[in-house]
Amino acid sequence: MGLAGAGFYASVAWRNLGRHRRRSAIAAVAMAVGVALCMAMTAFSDGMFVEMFRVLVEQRLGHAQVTHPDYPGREHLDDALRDRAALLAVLDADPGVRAASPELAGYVLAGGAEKSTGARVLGVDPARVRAVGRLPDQVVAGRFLDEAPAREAVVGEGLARDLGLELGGELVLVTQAADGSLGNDLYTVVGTVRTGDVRVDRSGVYLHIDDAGELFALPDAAHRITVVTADPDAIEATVERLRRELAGLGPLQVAPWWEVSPETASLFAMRDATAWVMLLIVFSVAAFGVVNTMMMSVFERTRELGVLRAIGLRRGRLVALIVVESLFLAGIAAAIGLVLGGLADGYLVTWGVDYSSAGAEGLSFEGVMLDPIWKGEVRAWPILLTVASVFLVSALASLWPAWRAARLQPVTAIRED
Amino acid sequence: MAPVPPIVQATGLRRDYRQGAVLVRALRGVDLAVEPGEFTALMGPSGSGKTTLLNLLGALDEPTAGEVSIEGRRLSALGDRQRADLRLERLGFVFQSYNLLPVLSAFENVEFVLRLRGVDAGERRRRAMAALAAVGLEGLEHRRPDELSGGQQQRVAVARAIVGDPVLVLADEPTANLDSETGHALIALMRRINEERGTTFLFATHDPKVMDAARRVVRLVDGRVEADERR
Repeated sequence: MGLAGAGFYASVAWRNLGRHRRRSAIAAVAMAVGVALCMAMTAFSDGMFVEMFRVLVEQRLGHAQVTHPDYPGREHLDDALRDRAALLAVLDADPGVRAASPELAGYVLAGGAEKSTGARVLGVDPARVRAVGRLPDQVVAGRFLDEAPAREAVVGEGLARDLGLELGGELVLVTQAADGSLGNDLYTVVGTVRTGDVRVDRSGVYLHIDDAGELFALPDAAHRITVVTADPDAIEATVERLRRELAGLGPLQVAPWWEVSPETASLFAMRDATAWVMLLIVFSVAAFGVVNTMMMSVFERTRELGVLRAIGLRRGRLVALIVVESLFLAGIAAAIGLVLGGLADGYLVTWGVDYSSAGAEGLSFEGVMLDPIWKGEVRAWPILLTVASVFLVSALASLWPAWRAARLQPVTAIRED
Repeated sequence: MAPVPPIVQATGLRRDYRQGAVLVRALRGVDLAVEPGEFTALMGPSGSGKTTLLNLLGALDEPTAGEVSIEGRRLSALGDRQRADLRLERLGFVFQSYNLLPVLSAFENVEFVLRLRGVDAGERRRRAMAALAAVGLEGLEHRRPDELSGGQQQRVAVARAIVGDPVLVLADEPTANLDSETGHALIALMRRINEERGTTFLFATHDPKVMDAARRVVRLVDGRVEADERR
C-alpha cells in the first residue's frame, strides 16, 4: 500500500466514521471530556503542588539547610554553628544561592507584667529572613524587628494574649544559656505575628539573632542556616557544591529539603502519581468509548467487511482500516479535548480556585497556612501523555473487534446479518 | 490441440456444518469442472447446496472433504493471505444483496478492486469507467449506493466483479432481490459480457427463468449433482 493507497484507506475510514455521526460524536465528546478533565485536574493538582512547594518547602524548610550534624532531631543549644559570619560569607558568594538566612533557637521562660510561660525563642536576621519566608508579612499588629539589634521582640499573637503583652510593653526572657549561666534580659514588644503555625503563634518569640546570641551566650552562632537556591531544579548540584565550599568551617552538614523533611518529600512524590491516576481515568473512559463505538460499528458491518475480504482484502489491511477509523475518532476527541482542556487550564492559571469561602481563613497543612486561592500550573508532559494515551488506547481498543472481523471466514461474515 | 484445462476443478467435495445440534450435510460429494468461457447456472431448490458450493469454489470457505483447484492451484495448499490474493487477482463476486460499500461512490466501489491490486490511478480510472460503461451506468459513477436503484446497484456489483478481468465470476442468486424484468436485464447483461469479453460466469439461482439464458445447467439436489446439461 503506497502513500496514495494509505490516503484512500484514511478517506474510507473517515467516511465510515461519518455514517453514524451521532454515535461517533458521542464517543468523541466522551473522550474529549476525559482529556479536558485530565488536563484541568492535572493543572489543578500541579498548581496545588506548586503552592505547597512554595509554602511547605521554600518558606518553611528552604531548599537546603546548613546545621551542626547533631542538631537535627536533638535540637540541643550546644549543637550550634559557631562562625556564622564566615558561613554566610561563603553562602553569599555562591552564585547558586539566592538567599541564606540564619536562625538561633532555644527555650525560655517568658514573662509579662503578671504571668509567665514557656516559650521558644527564634533569633533571626531581619535583613535576611524576608528572602526565605513571609514572616515579616505575617505581623498582624505593630511592626517587624529592626535590622539592627535593639532588644526588640515580635511575639506570636496567642502568646501575647496569654501573657497580656501590649505593643511597646516589656517582655522578660529567662533561660539557661549554652555556657551554663543564667541568661535573662528585658525586651520591648514591637509586634505580634500570626503565621498559621499554632506552635509559633502560641509560644513563639522572635528576636534579632544578635540579641538571641547574647541571651543564649552563643554570639555569632546559628543553629540553622536556611538556603534558598537560585534554581529550584538544581538544588542537588548546589548542595553538593556547598558541601565542598563549607568543608573545614567546623562540624556541619548541608542537607537538601527532602532530607530535612522526608515526610514533605513523600508528599511531593505524589505529584506525578496524581498525574498518572488522572491518566488512568482518561484511559478507562477512552477505552470504554472506543471499544463500545468500534464494536457496534464493526459488528453491524460484519457482512460488509466479509465482502471486502471476499473481493480480496487481506486480513491485515482490514484490521488497519478499522484501526485507522478509531484513530480518527481519537484525533477528533483529542482536538476537542485540547480546546476544552485549554480553556479550563486558562481559567485555572489566570483566576484559580478560591477556597476562602469554603474554609474559614484558608487551608492549613502541618500547621502552615496555604494561600486560599489555588492557581493552576500547566506542564507539557502530562498533556502530551494524555493525548498520546487517547490514541494508544483507541488503537488498542479497536484491535479486538478488528481482529474478530478479520478472523471470520468471508462466507461466515457475509452470512451474518 | 490439447484440451483447455478447466478454470475450476472440484473433486469429491463435501461440506458439513452444524446448525445448532443438527449436522447439516450441505454437499455430499460433488465433482465439477468449469471450463473457460462458460456461462453456467447452478440450479436447485433452497437448501440444495448451491451457495455452499459457490463459496467453496470461490475460496470463501473450506470443504470438509475433497479438493478445489483454481487454474491448477489446490486451495487446500494455500494460506489465508494467498487465498485473499487469489480471490483478488483471479475471481469476481456478485452477491445476492449487492453488498457495495455504502461510503464509496459507484466508481470508487468498482475501482476499489484495482486499488487493492496496486494498479496506478490512470489505469484504474480507464478500466473502472469501461466496466461501468459495460454495465450501462455511464453518468451515474459519482452516486453512492443509496442513490441507486436495486438493479443499478447490482450492475455496479457486476462492474466490480468484472473490472479486474477475472478468470471466473461467481454470482450467488444475483437476481433474487430484483423484480423479474430487472433480473432478466441483469442476466442478459452478464450473458453479453460473457460473449463480448469471454468472461466465465457461474451463478447460483433457483429462478427457472434465469435458466433459459444459461448455456450449461448444473442441477443440485440434496448436496449432489443430479444433472449436468450443456446446450
